[in-house]
Amino acid sequence: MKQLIKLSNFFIFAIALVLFLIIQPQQKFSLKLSSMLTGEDKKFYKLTEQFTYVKTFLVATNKVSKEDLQKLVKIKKELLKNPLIKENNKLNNKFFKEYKDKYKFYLNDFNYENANQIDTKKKLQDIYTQLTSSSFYVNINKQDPLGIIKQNKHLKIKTKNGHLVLKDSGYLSIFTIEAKADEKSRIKIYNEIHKILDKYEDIQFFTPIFYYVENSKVIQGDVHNIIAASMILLGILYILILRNIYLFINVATTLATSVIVGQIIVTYIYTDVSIIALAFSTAITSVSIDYMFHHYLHNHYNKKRKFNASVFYGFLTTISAFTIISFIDFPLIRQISIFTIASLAIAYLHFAFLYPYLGIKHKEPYVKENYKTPFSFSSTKIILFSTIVIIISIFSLKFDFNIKNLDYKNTKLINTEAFFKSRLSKKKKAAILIKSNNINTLIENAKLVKKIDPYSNVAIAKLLSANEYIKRQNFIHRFGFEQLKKDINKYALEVGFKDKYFKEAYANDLLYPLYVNYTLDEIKNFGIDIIKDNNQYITYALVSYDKIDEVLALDFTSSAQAKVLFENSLKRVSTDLILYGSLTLILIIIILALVTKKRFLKAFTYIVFPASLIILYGIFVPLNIMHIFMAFVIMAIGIDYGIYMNEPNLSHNTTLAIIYSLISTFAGFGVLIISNINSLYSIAITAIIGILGILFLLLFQKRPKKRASK
Amino acid sequence: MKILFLVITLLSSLFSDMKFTETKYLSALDMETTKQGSMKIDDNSFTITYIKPTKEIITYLEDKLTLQNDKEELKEYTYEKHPKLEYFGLLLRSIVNDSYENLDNMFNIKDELNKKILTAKSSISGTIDYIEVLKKDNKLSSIILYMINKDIITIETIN
Repeated sequence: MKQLIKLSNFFIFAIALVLFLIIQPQQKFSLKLSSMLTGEDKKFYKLTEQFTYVKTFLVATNKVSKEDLQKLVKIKKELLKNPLIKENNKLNNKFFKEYKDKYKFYLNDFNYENANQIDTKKKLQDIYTQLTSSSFYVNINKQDPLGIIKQNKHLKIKTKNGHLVLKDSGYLSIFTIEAKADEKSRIKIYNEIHKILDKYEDIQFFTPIFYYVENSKVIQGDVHNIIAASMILLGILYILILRNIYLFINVATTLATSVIVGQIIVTYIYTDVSIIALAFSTAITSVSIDYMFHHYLHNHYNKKRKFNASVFYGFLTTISAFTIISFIDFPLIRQISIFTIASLAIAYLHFAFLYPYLGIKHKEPYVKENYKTPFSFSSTKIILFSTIVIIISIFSLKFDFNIKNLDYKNTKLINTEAFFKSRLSKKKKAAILIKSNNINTLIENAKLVKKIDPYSNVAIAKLLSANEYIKRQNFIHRFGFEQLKKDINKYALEVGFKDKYFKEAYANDLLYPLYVNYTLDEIKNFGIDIIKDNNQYITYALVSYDKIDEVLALDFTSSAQAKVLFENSLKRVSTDLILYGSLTLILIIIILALVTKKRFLKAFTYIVFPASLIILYGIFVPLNIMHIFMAFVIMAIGIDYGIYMNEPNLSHNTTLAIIYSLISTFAGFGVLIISNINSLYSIAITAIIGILGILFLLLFQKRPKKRASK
Repeated sequence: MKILFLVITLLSSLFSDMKFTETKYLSALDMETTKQGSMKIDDNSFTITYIKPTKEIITYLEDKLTLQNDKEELKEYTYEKHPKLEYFGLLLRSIVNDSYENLDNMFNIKDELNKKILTAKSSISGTIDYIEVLKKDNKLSSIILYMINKDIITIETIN
């Protein structure tokens, strides 16, 4: 039986492992930034991913030489062999051209108010003269020979040798990538594009899809490296500290069990868990191990001792703090909190209740004597210092609400995107969504946006709305086309034109076409982005930055900028963050006061001093949500130390346990600093500052006079 | 090797200054006009010189076109303001040079025996219907442009 209990730790791990293999929680870890978004913002973010502008793929040469053109033509041919890469024909869309042709008298302005303003005979004579004497080919518009319709201004995009030219650069080709929005398809098309284009020099190419693939690769690699580095570092550290292989194997098994259970629970609750939560999970094990250090160094595993209340209070406070924090409606924080609660609980139950029966032998620590410091500070002085720092810093604090900054910063791709954007548009523009319950109103809404910002790109605003149709038809009725047609027939022969040559001029099917009943597919065929989502039709537009506020004030628009969506998500939880953060703080202080009683001030320094250092850091670097979150975690860890240090006869082993805990926490969270992902880096830097603060207190805070060496 | 060089030089000289007759059928007037001239291709320009019925020189440069009439008056048209003008020069230059990669955006190109058919893509289908490029003994013999309004422009090379 005793042997069975000794092996129970491994049995529990085996059960967890089997569950892990069956449930496979790792498959639910997502690299997508959208897993950090909530509610409507998440929905809008996903909607924007469906629009073709996200799938636009640009390739440009660096110069406009003959060789560059040949190179681009060759590239184009190679790329178009891939069935998922299509030439972007928005400029010359066949269906849209047919539509514009059919409604040309409705979609364009007129050069005249009425037929009386036109000298038909003179116009026909001018055409005749041009035809017979012009050095260039004269193309007569048989449907509108008198030029009543105002010609649209030519496109602002430059061309050379029949190809698009990118300003201050070379030739440009625009494609659309029709790969599915899943990770596998994106990686496949990414590799295929690179296989073709990597052999060409002096070209630039970009598609937003590259962000997904490259960032995912980096994030995935980063998280794996961090987990591996963290595990190796902690493993070496534990072997060196514990000098007990049996204990080490058991601890490693327990921590693995705690991580697996945490993963199973969090992925059971969430279908889409941010991979950042996974990276955090290894780090949090360095907090779990504190419970073991305190039990082990106080001989709980080799002697019969009464229940270790200090560790229990520490555990309870941390769990309570994370429970309160988990009420913040921000997926990443909730996921990390749930994971932490599950993982810490499993670890605590093991270390507190199972380990005393595992037959672990105690090895004395390296140092038995208490160290002496040349100087020390009283709790009052430390609290005074911390309060002054907090008061001074709090007004100069800077915050960064852009979650995109928490992602991996792909500088190379950001620069390539900027290269194309700056050359394609003079004005910086922001993406918005325009919504309506029906297509006709959607067109009207889009036209209103275009009216507010004439420089905006609103493709759907080019379509004829029902109101415009009725107005224009009335205008055409009054214009006097019937008389014009008679005049043309009369004068054309006189001037010298072939009989009935102008029979198509101002034909009734052009002047009075039936109004089009737009369908979703029809508009999509025009090359215009439109989607239907729960009875709502949605399109997107690019609006100038100076008009964005005015446009977003309309009740049928919403921002589609990732930055704004993330900010919205964060701002929505900022009240939560303040509320639950304050509650956590109050809870921590209450528990601390209850447990420490007279020694409250000393224990309180373990919260206020690290917090003041983190706030001080916030003067220099804008604090993001992960800094703030980690600050609460540090405070929750700090209270553990505050409680442990409360022991009336503070033993040498308590100090040692705290130092070991600190080293392991430092290794666990500190390793995240190697990450290229800003959120993990933010966690690491906050942890390092906090832990250094706690270490400072441990070393330089005045100790009680009545102090036993052991 | 020397022979090959001579052949290439001869061929390039032929193409660099190609004489032609241009017949334009104007459907609107049901009449034909005829012009005679030559085409010359340099690295940076493409020049069409009409000698009959009147002298006229059209030079397609990198970003503009110049037109010089028999009175030596010179007019300039930038492609930025008159984009359509660029296309005609580009079209003729590409056909004469037998390098069709520049026309990829504008035409679907089909090869037949001694003949190429260029069908207009939607970008220019409002003006041109299709073009026939005929070859004789592997040399360009004529270019026939079928315009959308039934005009026909025939350019025949003169050996």
